[in-house]
This record gives sequence, C-alpha cells and structure tokens, in this order.
Amino acid sequence: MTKLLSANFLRLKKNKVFWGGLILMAAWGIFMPVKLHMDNLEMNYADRVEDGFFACAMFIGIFIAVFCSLFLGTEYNDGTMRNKIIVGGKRSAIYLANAVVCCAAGLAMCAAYLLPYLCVGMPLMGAFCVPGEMVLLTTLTVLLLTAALSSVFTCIAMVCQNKAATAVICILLAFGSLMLGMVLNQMLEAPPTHMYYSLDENGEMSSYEEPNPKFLEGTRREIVQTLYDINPGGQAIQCAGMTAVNPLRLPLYSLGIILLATGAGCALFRKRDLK
Amino acid sequence: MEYVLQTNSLTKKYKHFKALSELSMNVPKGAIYGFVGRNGAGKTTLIRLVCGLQSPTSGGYTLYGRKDTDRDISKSRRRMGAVVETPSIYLDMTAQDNLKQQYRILGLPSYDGMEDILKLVGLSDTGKKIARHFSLGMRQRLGIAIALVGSPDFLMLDEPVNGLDPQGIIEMRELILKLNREQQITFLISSHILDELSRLATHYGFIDRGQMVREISAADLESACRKCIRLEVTDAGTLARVLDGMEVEYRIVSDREADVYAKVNVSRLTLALAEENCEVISMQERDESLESYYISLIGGQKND
Repeated sequence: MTKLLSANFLRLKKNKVFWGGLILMAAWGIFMPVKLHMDNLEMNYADRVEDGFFACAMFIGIFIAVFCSLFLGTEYNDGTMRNKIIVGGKRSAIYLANAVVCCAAGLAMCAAYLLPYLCVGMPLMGAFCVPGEMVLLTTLTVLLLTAALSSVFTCIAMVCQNKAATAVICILLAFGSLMLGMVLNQMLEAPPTHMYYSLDENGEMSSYEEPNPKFLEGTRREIVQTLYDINPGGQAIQCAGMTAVNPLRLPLYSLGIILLATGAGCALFRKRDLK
Repeated sequence: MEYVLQTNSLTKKYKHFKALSELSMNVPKGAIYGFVGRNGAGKTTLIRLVCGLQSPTSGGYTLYGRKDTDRDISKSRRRMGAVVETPSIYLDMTAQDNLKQQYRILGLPSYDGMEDILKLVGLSDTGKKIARHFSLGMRQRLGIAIALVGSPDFLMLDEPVNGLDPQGIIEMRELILKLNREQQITFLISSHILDELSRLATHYGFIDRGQMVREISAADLESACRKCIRLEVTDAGTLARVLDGMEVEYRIVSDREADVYAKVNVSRLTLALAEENCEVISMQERDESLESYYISLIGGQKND
C-alpha cells in the first residue's frame, strides 16, 4: 500500500483542484477574522476569536465533495485505475490508499483555514474566551468530521465509475446533509411554549402562554437529536456555532461513519467489475 | 511448448448475456498472438478478465503457470502490462509525470530507464506538453510506455491501431516488432484490422460470440491459405464456361471477377475468351488473405 500511497501523494502534489481548495480555504481563513474585527470596530459588535474559528466546518464538506469526485473520478475517467490493478495491486490496498489521500487532502484544507485564522485572529481579537478543552474537543470533532466526509465521498467515488455522476451525487449529498442539519436544528430549536397576546373589550392587552405543538419531547426529541448528531451536516452546524449538546458523542459518530463507509466501500469495490 | 497465458473454459456472463463461453486459448511464450474477432465477440472481455479488472463467472486461466485463484496471482501480473481499450493515462500530466506515477505504483526505487522508455516509444521530446494535447498515436504510445515500466515480458494490447493514421499504424507496428524481437516480449493483440495483424502475428486465435473458433500458427495459416489469380473480365459467366472447359478450379467473385486456383496458360485462356467475345481487363496474382480465411471461418461457424 505504501507504493500506492506514494503514487497518490505525488499526484496530489500536482493536483490543481487540491491547490485551488487549499488557497481558497487559506484566503477565507485570513478574511474571516479580519471581517469580524472590522465589524467589532465599525459596528461595536463583540465578536470573539472563536466566533468564526470553526466556520470552515460548514463548507468543508462541499470542498471535499468536489475534490474527491474529481480526484478519484479521474482514475475512472482516464482509465488509470486499471494501471494499478493490471500490475497486481490489491483492490483493498487501492481503495485504502485513495481513502487516505482524500482524507489527508480534506484535513490539509481544514488546516489551511484554521492556521491562518489563528495567526490573524488572535493578534486582532485576542485569545479564546471559551475553555481550552472545548476548543480542542471541537477541533478534534471538526477534523474527524472532515475524515468522515472524505470516507463517504471516497466510497461514492470508488463505487460509481462515472466521474460526472460522482461529482453530482457528492455535491448534492454535501448540500443535502447541510440542509437536513438545518431542518433538524430548527426542529430542536423550537421553543416549548408560544406567547399569545390579545386585546380585551376595554382595550387592555393580556397575554397567555400555550404549549408549542412543534416542540419535541421525550423519545422523539432524542431520536431527532441523535439524527442531528450523526448527520455530518448537523455536526458541521454544531461545530461552527460551538453549540453541541453532546460534544463527546460527535467524534464517536464520525468514527462510526468512517468505519462504515470505508468497510462498505472497500467490500463493494472488491466485487466490482471494472471497465 | 511454454505458455505465458492459458485459459480453461473461461466464461463470463453479464446478467443474461454470455460475453465469453467456455473459451480456451493458449498464448505461447515469445509469440505475437493475434486475437481476432468482430466487435462484441468477447476480445476485450477476455483481456479484462486476465488483467484482473473483472472476475470470471466460471472456468479460469493460468498466467505464467499460476492459476487465477492463486493468492500469488499478483506476482504473475507484476510481469505483465496492458493497454485496454483506450490508453490509461492522466490527461493533465506530461508523459514523464505519467511514467513517474507508474514507477511509484510499482514501487521502483528510482526513475532509471524512464528516458529510455520514452525514447523507445518516440516521446522523449514532448517536454512539458500534457497528454491532453497529445495526438491519438502519441497517447497510444504513452499507454504502451506505461505498460513497459517494470520491464514486463507479456503485453496485452486491445485494438492498438484503432483510430491511428497510416504513419501511426506503421510506427506502432515497428514498435511491437522491435519489442518482440529485441526484448522477447510476448504480445497478445486483439484487433479486427486483419491486414495489419497479418503483418505482425506469429499465432492467431479466432473468436466469435464468446467462443474460440480456431487457434492456428501463422505458418500453418500460410500453408492453409491458397495462392490464386484474380481475373477481371467483361463477363464472368463466359469466363466460368471457358474455365469449366479447361477443367480449372475457380471461384466467381463478382459479375466481372473470378479467382482461379491453378496455373493457367494465359495465352490459351485469353484466346479462348476472345473467341467467346470476352475481354480480359486485368490479371493479378494474389494470396488468400487472413481476411478471407477469417470470413470463411466465422461465416462457416455462423452457418452451423
């Protein structure tokens, strides 16, 4: 597998999509703290350095979707996947080498945002106001989320032999996961009660409180919360706002996604007839 | 005889379609094996199976004496290279970068010999030009260059001259012959361009509807093919009557042409035809080609 990894990293080094993603993430990592600082100065906002630090979690999925589908799709499109198999490369090794390089590319793009953000953000807005453990745990969650998304997109790109179809599926899935996260977030954020206001005959205003039928309780709330925690889009929203209800569970769910996607993808790829 | 590749009742089904049906073939070491068949006959399917891109439904093959089910089959595969359908190259990379990829895939410690391979296939002066801007012939040669990394002694080429211009076809032929003679590389070349194949092959395998119709060496094929004289006359019917009278074996090709399978006295024949008001327009000595052998073979199978 080391041979395949060496070949993959050599290709990654020359890959324009990868460098494009890296540059965009780095530029965003510089722009974000500068913008927050300018808002603080011009509009008297009180944004802190951590407010935009994990914003990359929201969009890293889209970056990885584009990268994985193009990087791995090329292997099928140009037929170069065959070169590895013809000379005796084991399919599981080919799959894992591709999974590792996609994961490394995703983590590099994440780092390309986080490091410039720290370098620019801390001198401008000072140190983190939240506990260090929370920052470290969220960083770990974001990195594992990146790895989980890479695993899922690698699985799709390795099983689907059509580059265009892979790109469409991966990008739609990235957006779909975020949308689902937002819907689940809205469901969980629904308040338990609604305040109603009315004017009586004398023109006096009275208010009364009624339970919100959309408020989730008990098992239903637990199910939705679990779905929100498992869904990478939901994890991204929680990381970006540092609002995770179960912060310790998120990395475990990501690990589960990595194992499941890699296991399933590897098994499917081994049985697949290649053209 | 030592064989590089032997298949034994190899069968491949795609859902309800049988692409290969109990195909058995033998590729001798050092041969240029021409694998002949019409489109969809199963040539590419066989190459895909031997390359490990797909698994057989039943039957099997041995590559350098190792069965396909052997855990060490990858060691045999390490000794082969292939260009399946289109050349497998990264279009956004230069010829050199493409070769470097293959060197890494094979785990070779250095890029020694890379320049020699590029020179051999005539791509040493492509510089920073990426493969996307290569001509079809250049891409085909780059595909072969990649297959040559790691010094394989068996190369499988699927339709290597498809789409090439005449110059490209000649270059490809010369390259294959050079590699076969100088480096003793065994070739399996699938093609339906029979004329081109007949200039290269030392052995033939004829495949039709997934089945091996016949395997024959080029020497045996040559002796099986008969020489003849192609006569073009103003009326083939008259020619037939005259030839019948002369008790000569012939075959009518069209209403103006016939093949005569014997040495005839040209003066006598011309005079006999002139008496019947039939003129001889042209006369050409010819061998029965691989093409006509193939047609008679596959046509015969179809009629069975």
